[in-house]
Amino acid sequence: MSDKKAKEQEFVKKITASQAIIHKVCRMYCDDEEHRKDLFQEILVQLWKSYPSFRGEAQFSTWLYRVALNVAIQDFRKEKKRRLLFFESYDFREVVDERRNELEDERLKKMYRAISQLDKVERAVVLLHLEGKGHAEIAEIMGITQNYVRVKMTRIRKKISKKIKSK
Amino acid sequence: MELAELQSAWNLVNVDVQRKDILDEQAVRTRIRRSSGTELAGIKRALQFKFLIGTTVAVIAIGASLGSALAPREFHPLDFLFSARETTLFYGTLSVSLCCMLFFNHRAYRFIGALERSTEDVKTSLERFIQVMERAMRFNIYSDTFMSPVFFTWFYYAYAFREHDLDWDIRGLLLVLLPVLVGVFSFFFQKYMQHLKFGRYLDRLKYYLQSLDAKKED
Repeated sequence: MSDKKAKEQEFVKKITASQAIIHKVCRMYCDDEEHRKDLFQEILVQLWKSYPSFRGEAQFSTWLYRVALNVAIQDFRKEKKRRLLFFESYDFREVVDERRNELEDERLKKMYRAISQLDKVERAVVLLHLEGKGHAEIAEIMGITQNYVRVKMTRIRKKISKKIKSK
Repeated sequence: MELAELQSAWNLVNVDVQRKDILDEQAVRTRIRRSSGTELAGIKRALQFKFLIGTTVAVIAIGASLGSALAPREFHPLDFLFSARETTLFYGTLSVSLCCMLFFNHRAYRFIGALERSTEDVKTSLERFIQVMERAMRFNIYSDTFMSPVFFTWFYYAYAFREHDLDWDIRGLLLVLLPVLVGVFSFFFQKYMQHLKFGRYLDRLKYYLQSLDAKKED
C-alpha cells in the first residue's frame, strides 16, 4: 500500500470513529438538512486537506473541533444563497422523528430557539461547553484566555435567559 | 432557558446523531474526494483559471514578441494595425503585464493554499483568514490594474495613429494620459467590485474576531 493510501486509510478510520463531533457542529450551525450536509462535506474536505499538519501535539478531538469550528464560522454560502446575509437568527427546523415524544420535541425546539439568538462565535463556545469541555480546553480551541471563556459564558447565559424572558 | 436545560436537550441531539447521522468508512472516503465550495476555494479556482489562460497568452505573447523582433518581415501578424516595430512593442508590453498579473495571482494562490493546510485555534485562524482574503483581493486588484491600461492604450494607439505620426499633439498627450487614467479607474473599479463581493462577509468576520478579543470588546 502506498504512503498516501495508508495515510488516507488512517484518516478515514479516525474520522469515522469521531464523526459525531462534526455532525454536532453541523447541528449547531445549520438550520436544515441540506445545509447540514453541505457543511459536513465542507468540514470533511477541510479536515483531509489539513490532516498533514496534524502531528499529534494536541488531542485528535481538539484538532477536529478546531478545524470544524473554523469552517463553520467562516462558512458563508448558505447565508448568501438565502439572501439572509449576516442575520444570525435562523428558524431551526429539526427533522421529525417518530421515536421522540412531544416533550422531547418541545425541549429541542426551545434549545434551537435559544441557540438561534447567539452569533457564530458564541455558538462555538456553547457547543464546547455542552460537549463537556473544561475552560482550559475551550480556551485552547478558541484561542482566548480561560478568564475570557468565563466572561463569554456569563454573557451567553444572560443573553439566553433575557431572550427567553422577553418572549 | 438555562444552560442546564440546554444541556439536557443537547443530550437528545447526541442520541439523534448516533441514530441518524453516522456514516460508514466508504461514505467518508467518497466525501473527502469531493471538491470544496467555500469562498476561498472559489477564489482559488478563479485564480487557477486565470493562471491557465494568462500563462497560455503570456507564452504566445513572448513568442510573438521575439518572432516579430527577430524576423519582422516573415512574422508580422498585426500588419493591418501596427508596423513591425510597434508589433514587437505591443507583444512585449503585453508579456510584461501578463507576467505581473501571473506573479500577483501566484502570490494570492500560495497564501490561500497555506491557509487551507493550517489548523490553528479559532481566533488565530480568523485573523489569518481575514489577512489572506484581504491580500488575495489586493492582488486581484493589482493584476487587473496592470492589464487594462495596456489593452486600452494599444487599442487607442491603433485607432488614433493609423493615419497620423506620433507627435506631441493632443493625440500624443492622450496616449500618455490614457494608461494612467485607465489604470486609476481600473484600480478603483476593481476595489469597488471586490468590496461588493466580499466586503460584508469580511466585515462580519472582523466582528467575530473582535468578539474574541477581550480588550477590544470591552
